[in-house]
Amino acid sequence: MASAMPRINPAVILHLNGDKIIKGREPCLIAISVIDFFKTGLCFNFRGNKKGHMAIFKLHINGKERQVDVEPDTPLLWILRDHLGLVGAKFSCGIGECGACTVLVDDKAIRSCGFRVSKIKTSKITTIEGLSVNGDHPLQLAWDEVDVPQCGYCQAGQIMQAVALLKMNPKPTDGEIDERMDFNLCRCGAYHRIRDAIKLASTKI
Amino acid sequence: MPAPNKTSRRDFIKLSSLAGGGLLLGFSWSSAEVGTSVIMNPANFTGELGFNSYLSIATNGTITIFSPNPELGQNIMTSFPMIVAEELDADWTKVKVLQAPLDTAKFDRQLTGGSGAIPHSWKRLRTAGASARFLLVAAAAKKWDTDATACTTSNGYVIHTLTGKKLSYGELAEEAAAISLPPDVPLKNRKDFKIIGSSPRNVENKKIITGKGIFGLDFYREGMVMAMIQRPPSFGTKVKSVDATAAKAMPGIIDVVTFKNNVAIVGKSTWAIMKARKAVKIEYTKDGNIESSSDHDQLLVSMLNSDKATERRKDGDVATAFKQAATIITSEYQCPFLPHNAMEPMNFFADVRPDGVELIGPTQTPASARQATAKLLNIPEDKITVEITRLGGGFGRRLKFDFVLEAAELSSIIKKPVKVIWTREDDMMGGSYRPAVRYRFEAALDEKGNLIGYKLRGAGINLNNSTRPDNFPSGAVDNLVIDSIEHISPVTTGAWRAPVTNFLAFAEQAFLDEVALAAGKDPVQFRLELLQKARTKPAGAIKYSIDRMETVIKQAAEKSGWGTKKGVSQGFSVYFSHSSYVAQVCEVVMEANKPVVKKIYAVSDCGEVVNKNGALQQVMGGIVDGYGHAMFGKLTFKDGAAEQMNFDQYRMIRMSEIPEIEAHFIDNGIDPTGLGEPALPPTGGAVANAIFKATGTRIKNQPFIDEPPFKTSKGF
Repeated sequence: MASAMPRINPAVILHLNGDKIIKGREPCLIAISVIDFFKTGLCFNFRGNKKGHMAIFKLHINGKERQVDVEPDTPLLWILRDHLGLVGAKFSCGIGECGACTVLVDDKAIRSCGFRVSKIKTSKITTIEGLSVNGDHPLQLAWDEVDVPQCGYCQAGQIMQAVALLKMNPKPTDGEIDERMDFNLCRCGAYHRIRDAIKLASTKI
Repeated sequence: MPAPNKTSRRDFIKLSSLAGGGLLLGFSWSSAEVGTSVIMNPANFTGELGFNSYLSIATNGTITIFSPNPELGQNIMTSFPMIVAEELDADWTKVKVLQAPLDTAKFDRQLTGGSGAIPHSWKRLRTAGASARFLLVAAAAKKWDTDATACTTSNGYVIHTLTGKKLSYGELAEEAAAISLPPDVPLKNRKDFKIIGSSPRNVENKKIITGKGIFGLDFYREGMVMAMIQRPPSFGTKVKSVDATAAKAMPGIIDVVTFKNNVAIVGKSTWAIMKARKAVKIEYTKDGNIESSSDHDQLLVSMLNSDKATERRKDGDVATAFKQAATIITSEYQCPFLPHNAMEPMNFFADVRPDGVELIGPTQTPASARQATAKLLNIPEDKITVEITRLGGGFGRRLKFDFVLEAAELSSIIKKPVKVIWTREDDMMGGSYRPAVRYRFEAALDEKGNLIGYKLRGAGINLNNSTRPDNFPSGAVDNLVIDSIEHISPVTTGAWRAPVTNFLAFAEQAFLDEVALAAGKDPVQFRLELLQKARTKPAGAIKYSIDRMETVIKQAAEKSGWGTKKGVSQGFSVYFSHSSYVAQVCEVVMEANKPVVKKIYAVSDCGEVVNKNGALQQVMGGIVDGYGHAMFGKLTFKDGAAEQMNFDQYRMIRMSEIPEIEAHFIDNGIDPTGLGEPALPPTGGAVANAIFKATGTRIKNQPFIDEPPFKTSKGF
């Protein structure tokens, strides 16, 4: 578990993120293929104007249907934060390396900073705001009980990553927790308690 | 807001009716200990929250405490109110905490830095709580027609000891209004502490885990615009020309404005701005030295040989000691620049209007930010308000207020409320780094292995004094000289969690192990002998507690089973910084021929532990931070520009890489000192010393990952 060894990036794969080639950890989840982009784009009603292309997207977010009129390349993170006032998903690196912007798309953890709106289609999106009505999802309760947060900025992303982990693997080992939670940075170093909270929640799910 | 009336201590607490029932017990955090205080004008707070420092008790018993200092993860919003609630004997479950905005009339030292808030405010906060409790008891005694000494308090109630009758604080608050306060209110005996020393959870947990918009970047106000700023990518350059024609024509863009060396792209949404930013064409021209890390490396080496260093401490006759030495050990240690990388990138909201200025966002220094804004805009300070949001990390970066000034200046130019947002790249390229430093240590041993001479020179890039001349082993060596030298660079630097000591402690503690080895002594025994020398025959002034340092050393050795374990290599380190003492033992085992850090023990003496849970969190976080940055942290420059711009190029520690941590605290009842920083400095030394023990390879430079035994000539 603890290691001073050089860490090998789990997925050093080049993929396309808009006009920029970046190195990512979960290419399957944050990469936007050019083909997909155009395919999806064409499904929607483009309104051309001299300044750019806007389109109306109907999104399923936290059990509600929301409609936004944005450019098709807009990342989900900015739809949530700027257009819908859902600020639980955080901006930190913008390249899918830190996990602060993690939300669920059909129960899978994705980095919303690189996930374009045109890619969403009919997928159901869950953000930290929609995880539970009263903030009482077992992971949220465990986060409080273990008293995980320090500055707290990364914690919504950590929780959403943990939700996806427990959906996939309800009784993870320490190693399995580390493997999935390595996608999320915590600059305050609250990792021990994040791990403890996930273990606590896994006994209650 | 009318100016508060200065008044005498006797009138310290003034009560006034709240719109919703109950009373406000006003106190000034700044002067709870001294002779003057502030009376709140009742008109000031009616129906309005957030501009006065006060403790309010509602008729339902709810107690509201304003927390003045910026919260960035050090848990001050929980610890401060705990101290007030303790002396008040409040029911902690009914205490509500709110962040106070900047108010220099009511609070002093309203900043987060230097692990200084708790020691500064300890007595002030206790007095505030005790004063309110005194009045509530007096009110109950009056009601029961008895003496105050016949009453006790518990959990938000005053209790009549004989009869067991009780009244809640909410019921008593109004009666307490008519009672005046004696000059000296007694404080509790620490054996009666119930809240101090307990482990309540972070008061903002619920907001954090449900994604409420409590951080600066979350702030939104109808009508505001957003902006990103392109700053010169290379230190030592300035803007020559800007072509923003294409960017201005892009959707969602309001304007592109150039001021100083900033090109601000102003728009309606973050994504629109991010896209338009790429379309702005900016040319830069030279405006100072253009430096690369290779230049810095050479400079640091040559600075150590300079004759222009500034002397920081001198004891005895160093030259003679080195002449008489049987053994001389010389060693050099170096660290690179580091960005702070707070998870929340820099940002601030500013609304500069003809009638005044509003500043809202995450800052460690609201008062300095306001002062600088007043100067920049030529506006009196009392026309500027500062609201402090929760900070998504600070680590010293938010002690600077460059981002506040940017927002204020931009708002004054575009005449709109604006939130300036930095990207990660802006943050990592934007300066205020932990400075790069190189140290040279020299030690003289006599034939018996006694340390008779010690020299330390620090060379820093944009760091005036890279030493802490009074730190251990100063005081324990008869002949000692410590000096430092600085290179002024266009690369901007600033405080980084545990400034100076974040690297100096590693270098000192690793060097002390080198000396112990040369003297043929056990590292723990060697340190204890030095302390004994400082106690019995001190050299010069001693500015640390020998007893406290000795205690943490012995406890860490005991808790870790120092020297008794098989198959494990242990490394020791101890450091006194920011008024607290922390000793650490790191355990390394060899796996596949490489050293693996398994566990770190820490024994901390920060005096009275206010919040056990919070203290543990600070120690564990500090160790993970210290270990992570010692192992991986490195920011390099090429032609004046940072070469690492985001987390794909800059490695930060992740969950699978953390060692087990076992933390202990010394329970000595001494007035508390801070803990936001002190656990970080010793970690690098403990780790490097353990790696040496395991491999025989002495790591002298950070990041460790670039050094043997991790990096070999064959690569990883």
